Amino acid sequence: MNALAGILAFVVQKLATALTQLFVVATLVFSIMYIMPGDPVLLLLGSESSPSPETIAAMRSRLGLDQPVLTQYVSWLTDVVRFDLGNSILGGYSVGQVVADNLPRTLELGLAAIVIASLIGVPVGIAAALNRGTLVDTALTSMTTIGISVPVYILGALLIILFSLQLGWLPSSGYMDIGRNAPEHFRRLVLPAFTLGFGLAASIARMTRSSMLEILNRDFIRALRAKGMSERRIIWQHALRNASIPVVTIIGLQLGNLMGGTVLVEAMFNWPGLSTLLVDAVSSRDYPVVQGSVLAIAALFIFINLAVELIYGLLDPRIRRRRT
Amino acid sequence: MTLFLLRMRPAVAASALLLAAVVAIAIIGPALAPYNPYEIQHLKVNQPSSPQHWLGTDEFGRDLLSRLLIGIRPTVMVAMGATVIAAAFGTFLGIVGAYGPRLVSFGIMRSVDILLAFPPILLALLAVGFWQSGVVSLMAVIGVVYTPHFARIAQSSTLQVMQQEYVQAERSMGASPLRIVFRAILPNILSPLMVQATLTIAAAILLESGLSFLGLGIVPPEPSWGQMIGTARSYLSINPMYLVWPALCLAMTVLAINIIGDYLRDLLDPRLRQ
Amino acid sequence: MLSVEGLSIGFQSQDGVVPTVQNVSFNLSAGEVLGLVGESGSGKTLTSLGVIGLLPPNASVTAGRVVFEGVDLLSLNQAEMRKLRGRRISMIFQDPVASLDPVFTCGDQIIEAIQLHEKIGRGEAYRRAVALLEREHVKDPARVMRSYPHELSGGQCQRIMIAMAVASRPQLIIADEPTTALDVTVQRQVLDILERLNEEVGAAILLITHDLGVVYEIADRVIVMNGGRLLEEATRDEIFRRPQHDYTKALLDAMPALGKRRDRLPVIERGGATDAPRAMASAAPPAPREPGPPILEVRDLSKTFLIKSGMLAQTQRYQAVDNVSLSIARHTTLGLVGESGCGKTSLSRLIMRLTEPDSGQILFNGTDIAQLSERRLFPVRRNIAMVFQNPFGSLNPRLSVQEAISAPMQIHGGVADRPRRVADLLDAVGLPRNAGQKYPHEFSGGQRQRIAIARALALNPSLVICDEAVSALDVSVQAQVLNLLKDLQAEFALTYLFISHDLSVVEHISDTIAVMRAGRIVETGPADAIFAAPQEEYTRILLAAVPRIGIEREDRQERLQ
Repeated sequence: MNALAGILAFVVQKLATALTQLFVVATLVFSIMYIMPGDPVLLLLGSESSPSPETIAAMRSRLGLDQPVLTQYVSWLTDVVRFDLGNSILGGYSVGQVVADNLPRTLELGLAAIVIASLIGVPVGIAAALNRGTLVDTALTSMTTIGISVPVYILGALLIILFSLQLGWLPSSGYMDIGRNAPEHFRRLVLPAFTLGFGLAASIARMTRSSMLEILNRDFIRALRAKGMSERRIIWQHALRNASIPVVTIIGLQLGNLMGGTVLVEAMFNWPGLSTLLVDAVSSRDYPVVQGSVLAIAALFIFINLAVELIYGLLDPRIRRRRT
Repeated sequence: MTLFLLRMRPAVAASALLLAAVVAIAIIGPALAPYNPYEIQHLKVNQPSSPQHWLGTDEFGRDLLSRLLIGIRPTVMVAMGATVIAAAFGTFLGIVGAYGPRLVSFGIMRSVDILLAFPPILLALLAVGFWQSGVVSLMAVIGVVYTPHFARIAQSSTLQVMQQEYVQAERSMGASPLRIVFRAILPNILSPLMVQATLTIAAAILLESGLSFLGLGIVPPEPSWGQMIGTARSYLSINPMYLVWPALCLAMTVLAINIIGDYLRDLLDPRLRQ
Repeated sequence: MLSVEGLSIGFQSQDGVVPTVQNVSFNLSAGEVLGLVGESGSGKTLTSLGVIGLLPPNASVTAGRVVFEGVDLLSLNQAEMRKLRGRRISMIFQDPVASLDPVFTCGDQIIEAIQLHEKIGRGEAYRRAVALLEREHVKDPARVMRSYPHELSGGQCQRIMIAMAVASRPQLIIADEPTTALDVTVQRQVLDILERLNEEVGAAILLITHDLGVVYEIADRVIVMNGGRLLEEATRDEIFRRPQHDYTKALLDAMPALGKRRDRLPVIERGGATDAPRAMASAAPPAPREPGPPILEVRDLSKTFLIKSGMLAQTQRYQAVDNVSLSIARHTTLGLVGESGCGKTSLSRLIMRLTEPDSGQILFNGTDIAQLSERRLFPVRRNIAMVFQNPFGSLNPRLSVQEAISAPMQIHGGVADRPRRVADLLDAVGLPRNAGQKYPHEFSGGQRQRIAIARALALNPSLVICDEAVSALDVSVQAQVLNLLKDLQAEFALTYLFISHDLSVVEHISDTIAVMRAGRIVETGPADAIFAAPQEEYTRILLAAVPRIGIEREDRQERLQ
């Protein structure tokens, strides 16, 4: 098999997995409506004290709820493919539109957090590994233990107290459209992105440290030294490239926590993203909005995961050929 | 036991003591509370710390120290209960997923993969948001949410152990599957599961407090640390210490668990022993 | 050219420095091949790492000088040392696959090694790399250059390591067990390459190995180490003909050698009392029993594995065991030899019914057990036992030795006084009785293998399958375990299926031999006949590849023609 075909097969295979996952998620999201307690029709007609059976039936057929489940399922899937997610029960607005508005904001927050986390975590991890057993290592490692232990909403609150209320450098919450005021947009991004990325930075630093130490103990590092290669080149060209594989893995594994973190960070900073949409919809039981936002969050998650896996495959030639 | 504590690293010993205190307060906390934690006093709203109220009061004039003390209990109960549920079901599913009949294990592990694809807080949010909230349902929901994590670890460790020659040796002697599971597999996958359990306790505490922070967890007037932090967010500019106290308690507890978890992992890592 | 004077190396520990290599001195002149021989823990690898300045962080040189071309290497700083490494002194390691960076292609790594010491362009370096590989007779060098280490075999990887080591025509090559991880025929090729490079490039070679046969093949002079000390130094011919030191003599004796069958192997006395051979066996070994009718007959046994390398990859069929037939007479030993991947372990797993066969019969005492259900098979299992290769993996670390040895009795029942039986078995395999209360990690490799043998014998089985049972052991320990197996065979009327890649060991212990290759039995017959006059080409190649002390390689090949 030549190399290009191998890479192509790898990409196609990962893409197929992602689409399958998306399909399963869509199916699960469809079933939310049935798992959810309470009749959505009654909820929709909520204000009327006792709606007549005719009104209920009319609403049922308007929503397509009188159709067989299978028909509903098929039409749900077709709608999803056409990105038609229905309308909000309470607000009447198009769910697809709201999701399309909110998704980039969550994506931006998440990506900013990953970038910040990598920029902090990787150097810290390398520094700790290269100074193993010294005071520097102990200090950095203790910092990372604290980093993975502080909940985002506590960190967020402390940052707000410090940078907004005490120092007044940054706004405490809210969102600004980039088109209307770009500098303000980024000023408002700083605190939530840092809050979200901090825990991930700690995880990345821990993983970078341990995998660097592990790699530096491998036989091939000794072989490189025997070739007369300088320590600096061994670390930056060979050790780091090998150590980056588990680090990318940890980013992938922490993605769930990161997406979970957006729920809290968006609430903390009044960031109008998908999670805010979801939390509000859950509280008000607005099921099309719940379905739409869950689907969007899952899709986001699956595709970032896909990106991570592809990077992983590029980094590690062993993965491309083997494994499923 | 004392000797054991002394031989540990100081940070680990301190963490162990802190956790022991947390559990003790969870049991006898209400007896220690200086005030009635539910008593509303409109004249003493949002006070800073004072000789009467060491940590100040909340937005209804309730004594913060008393509420912090009784707020431990639901958190500890949910975290421990959820971990027990997740560990029991997850380990069972994981072992079956590695050792069971092909079709069954395929079904289990695919479901686990799919569940793992959702952030835990999202699953918990949906479940708690639609059903009623409370200690028992939080326990169940968080337990179920973390079951796939245990299943994944149990399965991969079991697969690893099954490669070992001693399992082949048991099979070649004609050992029954039950004997293989209980004598060869389970004792040898205990270490990673214990580490996972400490991680899960920490994660469950964070998840419970996160849900309570969003107003979807422990229902007021019953306090929990996360819920107190969530409420305190609205009073940040008036009384920042209202947020700092429960935040400090929560962060210290989780930190202590993580330190113990790191210690356990180092202790149980076969590569670091010998 | 190289002169090591009074080199001592110690490990840093909590109780101070533990001396590990003590006062080692030797010389190496240009173009010479010096064999450094010792068992595990002898300090031979540490000595070589001390020479090239790559000691692990917790080890350090405590005394001595390492003079290379007039310069004391120990007085050089890191940067000066680096200039020597790879250019003047290069090194080849034991595990070639692990010694290559897994995320770069082999070509990139050779080119990198060349460019490290010479200021030449990439294209020029590429041509140089291809030329190096061609000199080693690597097939299709362009493809090998494009490949990642995991896509190549151990032999190919070792050739790449060698290509890098000789790229800048070094004066000294340190080869640390360069062939230990390789099959015997590949070992042959790698030794040939080393020998030729030694002649062509003129590099001196410091060859570190535990294998006296390898040393005999290519060394000019030999030094022997044990327990961190240098015991003896002599020319090759002297050391093999007239060894001076007792340890050297014992080491030579303990090694099973092709063409020299002995009933028992002399045993090296080691410090620990527990490693001593059991008392009763030393005096007069029980006479071997007469061969009986076949206890195990395998007929046309086949197994194909389906391998799928990826979701989209095509399923590939891999015929691990291909129509194999063999038969073992009661009270005899059948030696099954073959190189790695030939299917010998798959065959043993099929016979044990750890893997389900596709077709064929396994007649045990006349009953076909190939298709029996696990329930019907259960009573048969108590009569067949297995000893595995890895003495560290075959015992459950969480069970005490007592529990481990009792396991077959717990499973099958029928033994009234289990503690007594365990004690008897510990006696039989030469372990102290208090061993029962301990856990596997408290024992050495040889002792663990004794425990595994005791467990195998717990129910008085009639057939014991030994899958590479002595391959992981040092020569001296291997001799003890081989003697033990022979004694036990006579004492308990056992039949062995003895699987190994090591022809000398197989010849030593077997009555009949089966040679396996690519899933098939290529040749089978009485041991004496096969080793004296092999009929098949493959058997001849295999036998010719094994180093034999006392017989020059050219003679060996002629004799086998």
